[in-house]
Amino acid sequence: MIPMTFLRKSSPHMRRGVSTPVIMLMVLAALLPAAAVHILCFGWGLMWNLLFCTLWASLLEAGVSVLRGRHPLSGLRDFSLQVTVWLYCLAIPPYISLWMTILGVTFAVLIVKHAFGGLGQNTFNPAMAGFIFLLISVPAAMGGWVAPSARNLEIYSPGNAFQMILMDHNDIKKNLIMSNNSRIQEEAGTVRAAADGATYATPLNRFREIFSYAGIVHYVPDLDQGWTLETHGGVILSLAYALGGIFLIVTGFISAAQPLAFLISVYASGVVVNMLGVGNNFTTISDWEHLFIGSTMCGAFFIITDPVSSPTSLRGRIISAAIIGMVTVAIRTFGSYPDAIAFAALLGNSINPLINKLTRPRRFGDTPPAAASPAAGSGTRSLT
Amino acid sequence: MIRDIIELFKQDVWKNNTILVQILGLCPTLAVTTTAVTALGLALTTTMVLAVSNVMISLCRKIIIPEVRIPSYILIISTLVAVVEILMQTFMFTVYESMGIFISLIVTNCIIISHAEAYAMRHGPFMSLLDALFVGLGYTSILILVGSVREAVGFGTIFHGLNKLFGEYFADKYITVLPGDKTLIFAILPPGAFIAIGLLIALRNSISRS
Amino acid sequence: MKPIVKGSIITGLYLGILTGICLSVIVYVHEKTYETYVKTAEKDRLSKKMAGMLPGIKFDNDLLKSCRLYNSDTLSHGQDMEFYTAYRKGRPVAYIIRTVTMKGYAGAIELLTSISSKGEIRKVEILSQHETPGLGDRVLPANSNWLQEFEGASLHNRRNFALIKDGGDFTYTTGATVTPRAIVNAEKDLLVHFMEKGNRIISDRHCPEDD
Repeated sequence: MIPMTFLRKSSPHMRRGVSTPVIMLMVLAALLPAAAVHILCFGWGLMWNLLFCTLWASLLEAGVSVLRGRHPLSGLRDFSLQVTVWLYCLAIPPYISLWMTILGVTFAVLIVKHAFGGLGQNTFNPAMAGFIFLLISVPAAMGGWVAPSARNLEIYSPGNAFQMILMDHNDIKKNLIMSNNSRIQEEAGTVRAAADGATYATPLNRFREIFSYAGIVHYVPDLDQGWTLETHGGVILSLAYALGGIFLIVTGFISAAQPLAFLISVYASGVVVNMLGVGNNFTTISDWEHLFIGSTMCGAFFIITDPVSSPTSLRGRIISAAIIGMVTVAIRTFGSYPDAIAFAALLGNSINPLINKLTRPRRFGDTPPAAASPAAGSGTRSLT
Repeated sequence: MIRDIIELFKQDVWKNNTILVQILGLCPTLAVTTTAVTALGLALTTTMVLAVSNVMISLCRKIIIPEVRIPSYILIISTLVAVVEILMQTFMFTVYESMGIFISLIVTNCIIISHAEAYAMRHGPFMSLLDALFVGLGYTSILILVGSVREAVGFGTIFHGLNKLFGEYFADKYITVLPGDKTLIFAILPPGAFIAIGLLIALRNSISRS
Repeated sequence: MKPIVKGSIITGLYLGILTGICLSVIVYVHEKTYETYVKTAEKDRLSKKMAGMLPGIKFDNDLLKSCRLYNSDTLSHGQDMEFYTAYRKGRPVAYIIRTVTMKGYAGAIELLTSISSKGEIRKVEILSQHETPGLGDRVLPANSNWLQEFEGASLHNRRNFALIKDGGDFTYTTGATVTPRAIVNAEKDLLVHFMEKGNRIISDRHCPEDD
């Protein structure tokens, strides 16, 4: 008698048997290295932002839950709010007025998350939408990054950082410029990217600024100068995100395909753009730099992989990741805002329903449309 | 008669408000409400076109062949809009300039054609005129509301630039709500329009439900 | 004749007549207003705008008629662009020049500049730009008086024709230096070009008449 063997496979729409809180806690753990590097580079501002945003967002979440007739803590048990807050706080400059930070997180929680129906229903990634809300609302403040330096831990000690975020925007700006200026005078010549005097800009902004001043520059400095926070702060931060992302892939919480598709797409689009020599004025970001400047790495592992706002099927996710990668480079090259990942991610989110429709998995026993008999085909068509 | 008019007023302004309930004519509403004044300008122009088209279609309703009534409306409305555009370009250039393409887009505003079909074809010229004015009132007030909210949040003022519409006397007759460095540019960009109108619709729904 | 055919003919005739009436109304209004109002008003506005570009300069010619085209790699990026010359008693006293710079934050910024024959900028206007709202567009007259800093500036009376940040004395908003720098550099290029040509611009290519 032939032994009966069964192929054991879970039903197609069952995901891993882990609950949302566990996934979210793992994502938070994976963000720890990036948060640590962020604090090392820019001082303790992130800590206060995280604290205040978490408190405020939890309050809002509880309030909305009560309005919807649920238990006030029901929205807080799955830690998805914490992930939103962490991504949001890592994206914004660490020293902007507290009212701006709070406003952005309010927008993210109330409008982007709950006006669309709460966790699982939101079309757009709340953290990125909150970030973009601030970016286009108060663009001057959102350009205010402190230049990465090992000394920022002292300069922006917890006490000083707290004082900074309570200040008015203009005072924060003065402080940042002062600290950036003095540092650049001391270290003149060591950082090529800082050739521009007062650096009050994100690396991507700085590209255009220096270009407008001197022509072609490169952000990633010569490797033989050694790796320090001052010269490689942005790259180290990118690597910290990548580390967290690889941790998530190894532990099986996200698939490697989606970030890979995104990174390949960014790189390939960078190659194409640089080959064509198109763009507003600066095609000076080299192909590799596209991968390590701005928030490419953060986007690859933490933003486009958000389970709620990315397509359902793996094929759909890869397509969406590739599209977001192309749009990212296009916005970096042609757009009038420096940060492209967030815009590209939201654009990607908005075409998800379309991708979902095009990549819908075949139902069991269903025949592909081409092989279907004409009668059956016309039957379904008349239904739609 | 009087009761009919009151009922028509209620319908047009609140119960079937073109924007908040019927969600008609959103394209110009979203695009020109960056300030209260441009919103007011477009709303007044639209009301004017609506009034004239309602009266004309009501007058012609006996001779319009029912099978081709929609093409007839479109012909009449587009003629009106073309004439209004030329007249504005001639006599009110500053207003014309600030509203740009949206004057010609009044042709595509479904409010006008829907009221031609649903009201003017079935009623006399006087009631059609009243209908147009009431609809215009509902439309104008919502547009001013959206425009004021967006202007207040985005620029920190309300009714800045009223002189473009009503002459130099109004040059400084505006209200300052927010200091210049506390404004959110988001409000005057397209997403701000969607969110402002969405919130207003939500507000109206919650009022009419309670 | 079959009734359906008859009906179609009547409907067709009716629509034709309606279209005819509508078209004639539009044509009538257009004819009545265009020649007398629109065209003259447009010319008026343009010449007023041009005259407004030359504060404090007396001239006696029709600026619009003095329109010529030039083409330069640095100033107009290879496009044909207009300039106007103001004369007084047959001698050029000032020029109004349209230029474009590609070094804005988001691409091209088109400028209109008037220069007196001594090489002094009288006025600068921005014709088109795509800068970031709230950041780069602070240079627009609607948002600040920044463009007024150019009035009276020349290569002689400025130690260094540049932003304060670059060692000159034009101000800028922190965080938004790209746009002001692009404009300052474009004006500097224009002045340098102007001085090299011996304070005059000559071109025999007339602007195309637009009627």
